[in-house]
Amino acid sequence: MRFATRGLRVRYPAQEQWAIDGVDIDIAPGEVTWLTGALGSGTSTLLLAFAGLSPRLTGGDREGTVLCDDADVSLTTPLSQGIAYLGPSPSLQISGIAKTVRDEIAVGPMNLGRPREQIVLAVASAMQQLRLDHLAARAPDSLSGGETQRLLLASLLAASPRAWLLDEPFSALDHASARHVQQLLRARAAAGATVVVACDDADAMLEVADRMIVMQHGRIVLDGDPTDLLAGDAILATGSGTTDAATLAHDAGIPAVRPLTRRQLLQTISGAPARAAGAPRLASVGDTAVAADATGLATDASLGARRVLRQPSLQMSNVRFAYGDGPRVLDDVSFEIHPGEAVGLFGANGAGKSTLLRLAMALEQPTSGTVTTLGARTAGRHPEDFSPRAGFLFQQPERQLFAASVRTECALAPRLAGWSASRIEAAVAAVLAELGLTETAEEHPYDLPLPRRRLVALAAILAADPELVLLDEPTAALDFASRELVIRVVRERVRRGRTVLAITHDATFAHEALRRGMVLEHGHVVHDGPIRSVIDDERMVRPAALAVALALGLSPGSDRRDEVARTLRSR
Amino acid sequence: MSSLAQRAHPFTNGAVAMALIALALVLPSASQTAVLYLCTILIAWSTGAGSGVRRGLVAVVPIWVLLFLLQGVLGDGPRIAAPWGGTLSEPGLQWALSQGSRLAVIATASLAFARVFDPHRFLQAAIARRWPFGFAFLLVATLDAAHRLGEQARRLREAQRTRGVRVTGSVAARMRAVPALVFPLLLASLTEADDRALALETRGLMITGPRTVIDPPRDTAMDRTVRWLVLLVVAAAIAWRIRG
Repeated sequence: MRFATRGLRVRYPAQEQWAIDGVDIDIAPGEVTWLTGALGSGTSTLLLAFAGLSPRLTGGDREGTVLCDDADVSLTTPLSQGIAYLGPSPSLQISGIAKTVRDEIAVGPMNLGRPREQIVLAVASAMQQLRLDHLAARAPDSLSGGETQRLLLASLLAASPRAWLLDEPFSALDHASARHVQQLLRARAAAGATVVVACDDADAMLEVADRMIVMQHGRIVLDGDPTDLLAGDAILATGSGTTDAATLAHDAGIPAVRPLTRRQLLQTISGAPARAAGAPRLASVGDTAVAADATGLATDASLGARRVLRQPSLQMSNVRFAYGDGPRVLDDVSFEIHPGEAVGLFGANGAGKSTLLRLAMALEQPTSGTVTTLGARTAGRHPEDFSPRAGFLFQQPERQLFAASVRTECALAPRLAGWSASRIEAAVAAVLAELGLTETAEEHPYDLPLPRRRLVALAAILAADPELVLLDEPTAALDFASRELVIRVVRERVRRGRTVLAITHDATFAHEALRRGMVLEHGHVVHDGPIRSVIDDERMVRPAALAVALALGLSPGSDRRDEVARTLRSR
Repeated sequence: MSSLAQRAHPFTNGAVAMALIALALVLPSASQTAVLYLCTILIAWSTGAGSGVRRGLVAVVPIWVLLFLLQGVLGDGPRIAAPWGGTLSEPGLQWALSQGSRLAVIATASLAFARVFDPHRFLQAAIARRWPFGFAFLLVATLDAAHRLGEQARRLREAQRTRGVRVTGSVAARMRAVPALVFPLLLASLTEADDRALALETRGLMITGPRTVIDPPRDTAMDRTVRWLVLLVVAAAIAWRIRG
C-alpha cells in the first residue's frame, strides 16, 4: 500500500496555525518509515491524515490531497481499506463491545466479515504473537497499560492490515515486549506491508526503521537513512532527539559522524572492541561497581546513614493484595524507601507495579500486611489524607485533569492545603516555568497536545512540593525535550531531599534520575538494589552513559550522562 | 463457572427484565407490586444476578424514605395508628408502597440485567438474527454508557482525591465535592464521545458490510419457552388490566 500526499495542510478547529503545513511525501510499501520531531512537529497529525481520520474525525480544515494507492483515504473507515491505526493512548481504542481479551481481538476481523474459521485462527495467532494467551479470558479494561497496548496491536494484527500506522507503539511496553513488537513490525514490512511509526524513541527505531522523516512546525525538514541522520548535526537543530549514545557523544564534544550505539561509542572512545552485549553482569564488572549485600540491598554509605536517621517515606510490610476475588496481584511485598531516595519500580507488564503505587497512595487497601506512607498507616485513611505531602502521577494522567486552566489545575492541591494566595502564585509560576508550561498557563488542559497534557499533570502534583512523589510511567509518550525536562525535574526534587518512587521502562530515565531499583515479578519483589544492578540486565537496555561509565571505571555517583560527558571531554 | 443468567441467551435475559418492568407498570395495587418485587429478587438471586438486588436497594432506599415521609407521614386521608405512636395516612402508605415497589422492580431488573449483560454475546446474537448492526450497536452503547460514565467519574474522583479533594466524611463534605466532579465529568464525557468515535473508526465498527458471527449464543428450547412465557404473562396482565 502506497501513501502519497501533495500540498497537504491540516489545521485543527479554532487554531490559526497549520499542524501540517505543506507536506509532499511518498511512502512505499515493504519498509518501515519513521516519523519524528519535537513537540508540535505534526507527526501524529500526519499519521491521522494517512489514516483518513484528520480532519474527518478530528475536525478542522484540510488542503491538498492524501492518497492511498491513488484513492482518497478520507471517505471510508481505515480498517476497511486495510489500514491499521494505533493512537498514542491505546485504551481509548478499546471497542467497548467485548467482555474478554479474546473477543476484543476478534472485533476487527468480525466487522470485516472474514470467514469464521479464519477469524478463530487469526485471533489465536495474534494472541500468541503478542503473548496474550494467559490473558485471553480477562476483561479488556482490567489490563495494565502495557498489556492494553499489546492487546490493541494484537487486535490490529488479527485484521491482517496492509498498512500499519502506529503512534508511539512502544510507550508502555516493557523491554521484552518492545523487542517483540519491533520484530513484528520488521516481519510485517518484510511481508510487503507499509509500516509508518511516529515515535520519539530513537534507540528503538534505529533497529527497525528503513527511512527517517523529521518534521518541524508541520513541515518535513529531514528525510533519509536513519543511520546517517541520527549521527549528524542536522537532527539536533530540529529539536528531535537522537540515540542515547549519540546524545552522550554530542555532549562529550565528539563531532559528527557520531556513534549511534553503545558498542560504537565504546569503540570510539577507547579504540578497543567493546564488551559484547550480554557480557558478564554488573557484579563482576569491576571494583567500582556498586557493592550489593546478600539481600541485594544497596550498601551505599550515605544511603545507610539516611536510613538510620529518618523514618521511611514509604514502608510496606508483608503486603498482599488482590482485586476482589481475582488472583493475587501482590504477594508478601516488604520494603522501605527513605527520604531523599529515588527508586525505580521495574517489571514486566502486569507484574503489579501500578497496584503497588495505588496502595502507597491509599487508593487501595492491602488484603493483608501494612502500608505506611509518610509515617502514617494507610489502613482507614484515604488518598486525600496524604495530599499534598504525597503526590501521585497516574499512568494516563491526561485523562485525569479536571480544572478549567493549566494554572488552576496546578493551584488546586496547594489551595486545598491552605496555602496563602501569594505562596500558591509563586509555587505555580515556578513549577510551570520548570516544565516549560508558562505560555500555556491560561489554556484549558484538554486543548493541549498529549505530551504537554502529561506535563501539566506532573506540574499539578509537583506544585505543592510533595515529600513523596509517586510516578507511573512519567516519560511515556513524551518527546525527547519533554523527557529531558522530566529527568531534570525529578533530579531536582531528589536534590531537595524529596522521595521519588517511579514505575518506568525507560532505562535512560531510570539511570539519569533514579538511584535504586526494585523489580517486581508475579507480585513478588525479586530484586532490590542499586539502579545499576537493575538496568544492567537483559530485561532493560543499558544506557550509553552507564556503558561508558562501566568501561571507564566511574563510580555510581558519577555515571550520569552529564558527568560521563564531562569526563570524556576532559580526556 | 458462569451463572444461569450468564449462560442464558442474551435476548432471554432482556425479555425477562423488560417483562418485569412492564408488569411493574401494569399491576395496580400495592400488594401486587410488592409481590412482584419479591419475585424479582428471587429471579435475580436464583439466576446469579444477585448483585443487582443489592445495587437496586442502594438506589431505591433513599426514595422509599422520601415517599414514606411525604405520603405516609404527611399525606392526607384516613389515618391509622403508627406502631411507635402517632398516626400515618393509610392511602399515603398504600401509594408509597406501590410506587416504592414499582421503582424497586424497575431498578433491580435493570441493574440485574446490566450485571449479566455481555455486549459481545448480545451483538453476536443480534448479528445472527440479522438485526441492523447500527441499531444493535446503539443498544449496546447505551447499555454500556452508564458503566463508562462511572469509570470516568471514578478516574476523576481518584485524581481529585490524590490532590486533596475531600469526598468522604460528613454529608456536607460529600455534597461540596459533587459540583467539583460534575463539570469535569461533563467535559470528560464530551471528550469520551470523541474517543469513542476514534474506537468506532479504527476498529471497523462503522463498516457497513456484512459481519461474521463467530460464536452465536445457543438459543435453547428453554430460552424460547421462557421468552414466550414472559410475553404471555405480560399480555395477560395488560388484558386483565384493560378489562378490569
